[in-house]
This record gives sequence, C-alpha cells and structure tokens, in this order.
Amino acid sequence: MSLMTRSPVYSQYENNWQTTPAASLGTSVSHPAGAPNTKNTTWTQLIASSAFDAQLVVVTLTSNNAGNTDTSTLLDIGIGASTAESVIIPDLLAGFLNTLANSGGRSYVFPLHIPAGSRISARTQCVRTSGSVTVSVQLFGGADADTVWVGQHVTAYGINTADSGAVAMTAGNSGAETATPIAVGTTSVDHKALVLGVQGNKATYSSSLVYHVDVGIDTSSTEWLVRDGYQFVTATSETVYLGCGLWLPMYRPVPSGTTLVVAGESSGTSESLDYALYGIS
Amino acid sequence: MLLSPVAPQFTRYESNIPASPASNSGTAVSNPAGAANTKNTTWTELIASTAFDAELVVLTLSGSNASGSDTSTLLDIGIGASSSESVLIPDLLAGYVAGGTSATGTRTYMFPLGIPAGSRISARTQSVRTTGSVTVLVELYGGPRNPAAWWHGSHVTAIGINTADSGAVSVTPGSAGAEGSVFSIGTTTERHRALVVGVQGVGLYTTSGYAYLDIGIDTSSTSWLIRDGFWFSVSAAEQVGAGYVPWFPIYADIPSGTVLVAGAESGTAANVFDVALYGIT
Repeated sequence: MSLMTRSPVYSQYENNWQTTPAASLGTSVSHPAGAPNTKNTTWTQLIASSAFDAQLVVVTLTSNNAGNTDTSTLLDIGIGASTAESVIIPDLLAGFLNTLANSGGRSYVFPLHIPAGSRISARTQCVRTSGSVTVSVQLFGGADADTVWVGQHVTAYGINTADSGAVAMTAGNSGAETATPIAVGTTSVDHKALVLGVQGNKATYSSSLVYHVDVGIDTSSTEWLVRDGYQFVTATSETVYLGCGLWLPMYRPVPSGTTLVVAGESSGTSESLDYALYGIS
Repeated sequence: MLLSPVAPQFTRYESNIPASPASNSGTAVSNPAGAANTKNTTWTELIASTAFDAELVVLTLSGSNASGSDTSTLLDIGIGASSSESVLIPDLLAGYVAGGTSATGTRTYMFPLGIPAGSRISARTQSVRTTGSVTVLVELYGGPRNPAAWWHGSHVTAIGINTADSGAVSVTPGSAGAEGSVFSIGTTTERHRALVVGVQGVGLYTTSGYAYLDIGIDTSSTSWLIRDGFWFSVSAAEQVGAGYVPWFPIYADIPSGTVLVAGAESGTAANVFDVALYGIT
C-alpha cells in the first residue's frame, strides 16, 4: 500500500492534567449537595481557554465510587464563560469509577469540534449529594479540515435523569448473547458517529466479571454496528472500568428515527448495568 | 465551523476477541522456551484472513507480568502465510503488562497503518524469560468513505530497542513532579509522519507510583512534540500500565536523521522504565 500524501492528523494537543502525576488525572468535579438527581447550578472549570480548534475530545473519568453504594452520575461538559455555560456533551455516564491507578478509568472519545479560546467546564447530577468525579479532558487538533470528520454537537440517548442513570440491561451469561436486544432510544436527528456509555445501577455488585457489548439498530431485526467491540469489567468494589481494547467511536450514518439497541454477554452470571449512547451530528 | 462534508471514517471493524469474555482478551503468544532474548522461530496466528483493508491497527497487550520477575519482552506483529511471515510492527515493548482486570491496566498501541484485506496476522516474542506469554488483542478499523483523506502508513520502524535484554532505553524520571533529564531514544533513519510511544519496566520495583512521559526532538535544545501527554502507573508487583487512558499516536513530520528524546516526571518514587518509539512511514 503506497504512502498517502495527505498530512497526518492531530498535530496539536492539550489537557487539564495536574502538574504532578497522581492516581487520578484532571479536575475534581463535586456533586451538588442540595438535592440528588438534580444538575448542579454551578460549573467547575476544566480548561480556561483552549489553545486551538479541537477536533477530537477525549474525556476520561475516575474516582467516583463507594463500596456497596450506588454512585450513578450524569456529567455534562460545557463551554462558555462562567455563568454562561452551554452544554456541549450531555449526560455522560460517570458513576462507579475508581482511581486511575486502581482500575478506574472510563474514556469517551468524541470527534467533536470545540473552537479555540473556549472555556471548558463540567457539572454533574448524582444519586448522592456528596462525592465527586475526576475529569480528564484531552483535546486534539491541527488536522486538515477534510482528513477527519468532526461533529458539532452531541445528543444523549437512553438517559434517565430521575435516577442519574440510563437504560438497564442484563447481558447474557457465560458467553451467551442477550436473548433480545434492548432499545436504548430513538434518534431525533441524523448522526454520523455514536459513542457508547456504561455504568452500574445498584448498590452492590456480587461478582467481578468481564463483559462484551454489542450496539445495533432495531430490536426485531437487528443490524449490528459492532459486535463484541466493547469490553469492560465490573468489580465488587462497585466499579465499572474498561478492560482490553479501546472504546473508539462507531462511525456510521444513523438517520433520525432509528431505534438504537444494545446487547451483550459476560464471563459469568451477568448483573444489571446501565447503558447510554451518544449521537454525534 | 461548518459541518465537514466528508463522511465518517472507520465503518469496518474486526478483532480476535474471544467468543466468551475473558480477563486477558485476545490470543496468548508464548515466549520461546529455547533461549532468552532470542526471537521465536515460530509465529502464533492472531487473525487467519483479514476481511477488509485495515487503516488503523489497535493492539492491546495483557497478562505478561510476574511479580518479583523481570518480564522484559519484545513482540513482533507479522503478516504472511505460515512459515512465510514478515514483520509488520517490530519489537513492541510487551513486558510488565498486567491482566485485563488488573489495577494498573493493560497497554494499548494505536498504529495508523495499512494492512491489506486477506492478510494472515500473527505474532512472536523474545523475552528475558523462557516461560510465560503475552496476550495480544488486535483490532482492525477500515472502510473510510474518503480513503484519500485518511493518512496511514505502510511500515513501522522501532527506535531505541535493545535486543540483548529484550528492552529499550532506560529513562529516569524527575521526582515529585519535577521534570527529569532528557534521554536520547535514537536517531531516525527515514522520514516518519507519526510516532507511537512504548514503555515497559526495568528490573524490580519496590514502590508504586505514577509518571508523565514527554517526547521531543534533540537532547540539547529540545523541541517537545508532546509534554505530559502520556500517563502511566508502575506497581510494586512489576506492572506498568496506562490505567485505561488511551495513548494516541503523535502525528508529526519527522525527517530522517532526527534525534528523538524522552523525558519524564513522577509523582513520588522515581521508578526507572524503558522507552521505545515506533516511527510510522
């Protein structure tokens, strides 16, 4: 295969990592103390002013778990000046996370434009009124405009704000696929890429298991976009973290009105977990 | 920014993920039993025949560490029929990697690299040990709607490898958040358009810790390509992992004759580790 003549992508990079390496990366975002399952009215700044037009946004979440405790959390990423923030990535599943050095990280990769000079911030809602989640943001840019596809906004599907969760699914046991795919939601606009989210949905997980997740279209005659393409691990410390492999976006044209579904399988007796999908337009 | 008219990339995906979820996902590649620090004369098949032209190759390694042991390992990825393999990705640092459910996490390498449809993909190692193995998960992405717009290389050159100890260039980080010295990894012998970073442990560790890695050009007047862009942890169980944070390639135009360097800082203990770089052309 001959060398392509186009310039490489992503020649610019920045993040919000602290000066000294630590067990978790980024900025701690506290849950609102006032009421559970209610978005914070204030935002926590992650990056004061982004240095370039970002074309890929990687959000890695850590440090939001407690033993025998439901830590279901929804995280918004916003841009805009203080008190004038607008949501750019809504309702990321952000609970059930240990420290990065202790199997904590879940990463979300969004091909998404954030203009240079943006103030980037975050806020949460949680079933708890204490605790926090640590948020790492990595921005990549500098690509030729036509070498990578970049979206402008993100729509969350399957979110249940009443419990800071999403759509519950119990995967098949011991390598057997789920009998029936579970609908996560119906798209309201055209999308060109999807990102998968997962977190726990109960106080206690009784076993440590490895899961594979499938994402597709239509519950009755499912067209699979990815089968066994996303692996994660649950631990009895009430954490859900990525195991082997990267969770890259699913690049597929998905029209408005499409029913998105998930299915899965685990290495043992599966337990219920929450799943959401994020459509990029 | 207007929506890019270019359609998304990477609509195709395949991997050697096992049918049933497992902690170490992929195919176990045993170290040669005959002699230490010597490449195996036989290869282990990962994918019998690839289904499409791959343009992004993601490798996730797991399960090579042993507490109390140096597990320095070099892994080759090859293509070609059995007994006619040729090396496609040489000498990946593959030792000191914990299992896929471990605290320190696995190690992932992402190569924008072409592999033709119909290729048989295989792997082999050399190691300081004559026992043990590393589990290799290979994920292939392809199917860009605008192939000419997506840059990917055709071959990989390893820089900094020391075959005598199945390692690379040892880097000592600064301690407590202070930047350390700059270490030369090697001089490029051809032009590269992207670099991939590899790490593994050195000897035995008595203290766990965290570190950031910097990659640049020139030891005396260093031009940094990326600073604090790669986080990893070292455990006293002889594990070196990225904690499930994705390590993306460094996209830069690197001429032949360039001295590539690395620097690092640690959070607490200044644990020494090996660094190699992989230039993509």
